[in-house]
Parts: sequence; C-alpha cells; structure tokens
Amino acid sequence: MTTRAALVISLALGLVPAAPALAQASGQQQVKLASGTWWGSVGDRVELTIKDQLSTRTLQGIVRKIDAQKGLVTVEVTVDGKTSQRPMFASSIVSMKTLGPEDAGAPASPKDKGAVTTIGGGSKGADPAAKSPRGVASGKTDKEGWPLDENGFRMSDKTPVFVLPWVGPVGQTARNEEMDAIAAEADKWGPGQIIVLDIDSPGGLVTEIFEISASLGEIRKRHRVVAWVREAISAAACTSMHCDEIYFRTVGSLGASTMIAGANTVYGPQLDAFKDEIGSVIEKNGRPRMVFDAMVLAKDVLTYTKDPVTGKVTWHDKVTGQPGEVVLSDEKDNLVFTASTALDSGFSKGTADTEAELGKLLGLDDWFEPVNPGEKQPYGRKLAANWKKLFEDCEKDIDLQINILQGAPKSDPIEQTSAEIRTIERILQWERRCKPCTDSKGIDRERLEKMLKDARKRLVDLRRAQQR
Amino acid sequence: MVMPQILVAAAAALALLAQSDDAPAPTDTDLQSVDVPAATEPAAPAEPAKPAKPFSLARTGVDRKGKSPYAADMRLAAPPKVYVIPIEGQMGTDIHGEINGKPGIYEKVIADVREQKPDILVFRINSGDDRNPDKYMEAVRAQMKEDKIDPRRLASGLTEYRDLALRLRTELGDYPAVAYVQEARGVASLFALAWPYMYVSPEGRIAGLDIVGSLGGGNDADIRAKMFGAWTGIAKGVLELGGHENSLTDALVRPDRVLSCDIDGRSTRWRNDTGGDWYVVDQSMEQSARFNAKVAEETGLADGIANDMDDLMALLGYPEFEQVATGEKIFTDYSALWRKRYDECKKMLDDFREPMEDGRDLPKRKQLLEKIRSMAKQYPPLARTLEWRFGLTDDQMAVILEQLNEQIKDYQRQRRNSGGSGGGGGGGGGGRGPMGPGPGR
Repeated sequence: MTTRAALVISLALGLVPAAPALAQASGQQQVKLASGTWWGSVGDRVELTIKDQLSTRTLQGIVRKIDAQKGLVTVEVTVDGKTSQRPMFASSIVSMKTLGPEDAGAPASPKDKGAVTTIGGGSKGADPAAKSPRGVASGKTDKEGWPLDENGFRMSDKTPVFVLPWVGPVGQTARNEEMDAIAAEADKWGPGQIIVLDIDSPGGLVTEIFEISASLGEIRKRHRVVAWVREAISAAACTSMHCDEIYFRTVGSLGASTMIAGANTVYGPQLDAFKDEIGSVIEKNGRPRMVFDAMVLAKDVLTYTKDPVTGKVTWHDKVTGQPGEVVLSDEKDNLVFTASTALDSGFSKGTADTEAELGKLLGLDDWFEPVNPGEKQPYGRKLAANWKKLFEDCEKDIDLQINILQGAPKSDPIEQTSAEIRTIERILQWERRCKPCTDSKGIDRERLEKMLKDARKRLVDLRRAQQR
Repeated sequence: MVMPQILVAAAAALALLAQSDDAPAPTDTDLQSVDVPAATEPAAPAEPAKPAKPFSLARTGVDRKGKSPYAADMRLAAPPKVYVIPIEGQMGTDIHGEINGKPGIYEKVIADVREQKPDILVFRINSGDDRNPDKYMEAVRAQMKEDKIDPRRLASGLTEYRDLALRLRTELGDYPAVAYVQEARGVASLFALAWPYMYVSPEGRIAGLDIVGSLGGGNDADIRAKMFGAWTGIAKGVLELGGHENSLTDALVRPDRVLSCDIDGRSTRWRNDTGGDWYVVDQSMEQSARFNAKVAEETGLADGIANDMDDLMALLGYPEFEQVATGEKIFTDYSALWRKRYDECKKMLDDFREPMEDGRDLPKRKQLLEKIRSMAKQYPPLARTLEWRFGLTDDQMAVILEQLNEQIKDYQRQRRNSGGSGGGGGGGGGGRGPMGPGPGR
C-alpha cells in the first residue's frame, strides 16, 4: 500500500464514530462499562451490578434507553412492587448481562454472578431464549447444517468465540485479510460476536497498520474485538490498541512501536502523520494518546498514579514525583507493557494463560469455538494455519529456487536456460499465490516477466542454433 | 533461609494434620441489591463452625501464585510422589521448545507427567554455557570480541524459551511445583525464576540475564530503545510467571538498573535504588543483578538453600518421598541420542569433505548428505547444532543435494558421450574433479 493510500484510509478512519457506544446495524449497541463491554439493545432484559460509592448492588430490569453521547443507560427496575426507570452512568456499571428479550419472561437466576459481560445472553443455566444469541429458532438450517434463528443467523446454546491466531510478522503472516475473513464468518452468527485476536507478533510493516486500522474500524462496528497478547511489538502493539479490549498472557509484552524505515527511525512529516492518525484512533478507542506516544519515541515519558481509595489511574507524560508514582518509560526508554504493569495500570482488562481463563474474563461460562461440519478445527485457526503454511512454503521454495539458479551452471546451455525458465515460472506462480511473501523477498513481477521473456527467446535461439 | 532440623521435623508432622483454611464462599445475599429489604429474604442456614487453622511452624506458600508444594499446604496422607523435570545442558539444544515447527522433548515429558500423576514436580535447572559463573557477561563479551560467540545464539531463542516456560506452567499448572536451581547463567536464568517456589543449591547462581539487552542494537537512540525494550520486555514476561516484582525483573534484565531490598518479615520489597535497608544486591549501572545462593536466600529471592533432592524435600516438609525417574530418563536418553547422532554426522561431514577421486564418488556424497539431512530432521537439536557449528541448514542441504543431482546427471552424460569408458583418466573438461572429457572438449 502506498503512503498516500494509507493516508486516505487513515483519514477516513477519523470519521468512524467514537466509543463508548457504537450504533449497530442490527440495533445492538456497544456500551463500555467500568470493566468490560456490553452489547445489546433497548428492550433487553438485563442483570447488572452497579458500584455506588462503597456498596455494590445487583439489579434486574429492562433497558429502556441507551444514550451513547452521555454514557447513560436507563433501566426499568421493579423494587418492592414499584416499577421505576433509573438512568445510570455506564462507568458505574461493573457488569451487565443480557438475560433475554423483554418478552422472554423472567429468566432463571444466573449462576455466574462473577461474570463481567455476556454477549447475547448466552448464559448457561438461563432460560432457553437466553441460551440462544438471537432468540427464536426458525426451524431452518444453513447449508453447513447450523440451525438458524428468525433473522437467519446461526444459533447455538453456547456463546461462540471466534479466535484468529495472529502470528508472525505484520503484513506477512499477520494481516488484515484474515481479520476481514473471520469477521465475515462471525457475521453468520449475527452482530455482537466475540472475535479474539490471539496476538504473537514482533511487528512488521508500518504501512500495514493503516489497512489493519481500517479493517478493525469496520469490524468493531459489528463485533466485539479482543486482543489476547503473547507478544505484540511495534505494529502489533498498535493493532492491539485498536481492539475493544486487551488481555495479556502472563508472559505477554506489548509496545515498542517506533517507526522504522530500513535501519533508521523515521522522523519528520511521515512520523507526525503516523502519530496523528494512529494516535487519534487509539485515543478514540479510549486509550490515552500519551501511552501510544511513549511507545513511539524514547524521549516521551509515561508514568501513572493510582488513587488509593478508588483505584482510578491517572497517566502522566512526565515524572511528577507523586507518592506511589510508577514510571513505565523514562526519556531513554521505549514503553513496553508486561502483564503486571498492564493490569495494574488498567491498560489490560486481565491476564489469562488459557482459553478457559480468558473465557471467564470475557464473562463466558464455556469456551466454545464453533467448528463447521466436516472441518477439524475452528474457522479462524484453520485460516491462520493455512496462510502461515503457504507463506512458509513459499519462503522456503523461493530460497531454494534462487539458490539453485545461482548455483553452478549446467554444462548444456539449453538445459541451463530451460532450468532458468522453470525457476522463473515457479517464482511467478508463488507471486500470484502469496504476494506478501514474494514482496518480502523483493521480487518484482515486471522484472521477472521480462527475464522470462528474454530466457524464452534465448531458448528458441539456442534450439535453432542446435538444429543448424 | 536455613531452617533448623527440628523445625523441619515439626513442619513435616504438622503437615499431616487436617486443616481447613478455605475462605467462606460468598452467599447470595452478598451480591443482592441493597434495595431489596433484608427481611424479605429467607434466612440463610447457619454455616457449621469451621475448625480454626492449627498453628504451624511449617513454611507455606499460600500468598503466592501457583500451587504450593509445601507439606503444610498439601496435607498429603502419604509420602509424595515426586517427578523431576530436568532443564539441563545447553540452551537451544538440550533445553529447547518447538524447533522449526517440531515439538520439543518436553512434550513427551508433559505427557509422561500426566501418565505418572505425581504429587509434586521439581524443575531441576542446571545450565551455564561453561563460562566463569561470577563474570558471565565479561566472558561472553571477551568471546564476542574474538568472534567466538554470537550473542544471538545464546539468546535469540528467547521467544522459544518464553513459550516453553509458559507451556510448562500452563500444561502442568495443576501440579504443585518447585524450581531447584543448581546453576542458571545467561538465558537459563529465565527458567530459574519462572516458578514462584524456588530453592537453590549451595553453589548455584542466577546471573547473566544482561545477555538479553545485548540483543538490541540499531543505528539511532530510538531504534536502540525499541529493540532493547522489545527484548527485555519479552524476558521480563517470563519472569512474571514466577510472580516477581517488576523492580526485580527490571534489575535482572537491565544492566542500567540497580537493586536493593527491604525485608518485612518474609516479604521482600525490591527497589531500583541502593536505599534498601536490608541488602544492596547490585549497585552497578554496567551489569544486571546477579545472585549467588547466599544472596538469593538472604534476600528471599529463593525459598532456601538445598544441598540435594533429599534436602530439598525435607525443606518442603517431606521427610520421605518417592522419586519418579521417568522424566529424567526421557530427557537424558534423548540428549544422549541426539549427541550420538551428532557425532555420527560429524564423521559423515568429514567424509563428505574428503577430496573426490572420481565422479563416481558423487552418489556416495549425495548419500552421506541425505543421511545427515534425515537425521537432522529427526532430531531438531541436532539440526540446530549443525547450523550453529557448521552453518548447515536444511535449506542449504536441499540446495547442495540439488546441485549434486545436477553434477551426477552431468557426469553420467559425459560418460555416455565418451562411450562409457568410466571415470578414470582424462580430467579437465568438467571443471569439478576428474570427471572425464567434458562436452566442450
């Protein structure tokens, strides 16, 4: 992608509506809570836990209004036989769970009181309507055999999770194309699905981040996108910060987003554009810009302090000397979070080493990755594995072909030229199948095609000469 | 901290007493709305009174992450079954994770642990690259100057070791575990600190993690900061498995951090300055913090000093235990086997390098290389050693084999052209050994 195109996309990103609430095509809205996110719509029967001063209380009721701008959720609750509508700040809601549609009747008491968030009310032990993400079964199935609800979305009695292993260099094995593909798969289950990007990447091409930013901006309008970090360095750190929520593995590390061209740091207008555009998206996602800045250049400082009573975190772009101040990055360092610093500062929502642990943090009773009939593994895992294998095969074979081509020439010039043609044709085939790999090898299609043309002509000449 | 024998015995005896320290489960009323009058709720049945936790002099680990291996916490009715997992030898070969997509030897060990169902795991760490234990980094730097060593070979497997440590922790997380450090220098220190419970042998050392910082580099200050931050961040991630404070992990991986500590009872508070009232571990801005057994024990980094397995188990509170030897056997057998194959490969490489007398030697060379390649595929540590020692990768072997095929074809063609007179005399034409008259002749 050219820088110009990247700028256009990133400018377009600036038009994406901001969190905390994003209107959904299906009427579902995203509400950022004190901890976690709730997806749902007006009319949903919910159970919510509110933190009010020093007390915590749990209520059940029906959502009557969602005010995205003010961050207010109005819930109709019945207490002592009296029904009233209570507006509540989303930031005071510790957890919120959909129990079903308004007309589904009072559900059974949910068992998982510690749950943070549940998408579509897929709570084990809740009533049948609450079990289904979309409610009422239509009696139909899709071509892959999944039962469909009345809206044509797939149904299951468990809340599905769509995991995409996002592994390796950004732009090579970790790309936005697979993000788009898994989002399309999640679309079959309706909006509000959980997509987990299982990130293990040392970073890569900065230009790719603009495409990733565009893809994630679109996907987040429909789904809840979660970054689960093993390693998210450089462009992968930026990618993580584009997600709704970030969770770490215990060994996780995230940061070091210095922009590099060749072997040098990029400064000047290019860096400013990168910081402005990506920084603004990250800021709109609810993360302080100074966190991103401290990952980009060493000189930018980041510290934080925590209110000893409320635990509220305040970020600082210089060392303040306040009691309990934690310096994450001084003027010589590039910011890299570990699991403990991310959790303590509230940068991450939690730490999980297994799917089961992550599921709990996401508010799920069970970890359920749908496997399509006839497949051995879930869609996202297969998608990532196939692409990674193709990329690695391509990389290995191109190295082999180039080495053979550069090796000792054959004694017969006709054979030598034929071998050259075979090699070029093979590399051109790879270029069509796995362009990111051939790009990473600096392979230029036009140049190869010219070489192929020349070699074919040479072969014809050699054969003619032999016939004479 | 060395415990008098009498306390060990008392601890062991107390460990067998039944205890009940479970926290009461939250009741439904804990989570209910304050709007609901308490009177309308049915009274919760009275909880039966729980016996108080008996006083214990035994050490426990209830305040730490991970399952405690201490007798006082485990309360076993019989001597424990103890499974030893060696993390020993050379980093990257003996101690390895997934290499080129192939599972490492620890996958077999993990499967065996599940089969054996031990009560306690002991991760025995002994790795040090045969360098002077006190001046590990100095030795590394000296060797780097002489081009004898590439720091990337020592530490570039950092992500592999991180993933291995995480895998061992998550896959075997159900078992109480303790690390027993006989030696941990360089990157091996990551494993020494990846478990919350750790004992060290009297001669043991944990040092040399500044090797991680040497992986950085770059043309300008920002790139250097980026690379340094990325590598040290990854290393610190492994240390988080052990539940260590960030100020400690910083000092262990960063030469530019000093380290001291305050002690409050059995709790250690690490500080990145030299103002700690208990101990100044490291006051140099040139090297990262290093621990010998004494300092590790006195600062509370290690739970104590154990002379051997018997001593370790006694310190954990077990006067008797049953040791399961299968894990050690799997590990040592595999190490011995791949090293034996490596010796065979070296001999074959010597044969391969012998000057050819005749083009008829080409198929023999091809056979030798095919055999080496096949062994390297079977034993990933062998493949890695061939790469480190001889620069020979699978891709390179594939290319050489391809070239050998071409040479064999050329040779056969030349023989046909010369009437099949064999590869004896002649010389010259082929340009690669005495291959008989070439086509240009």
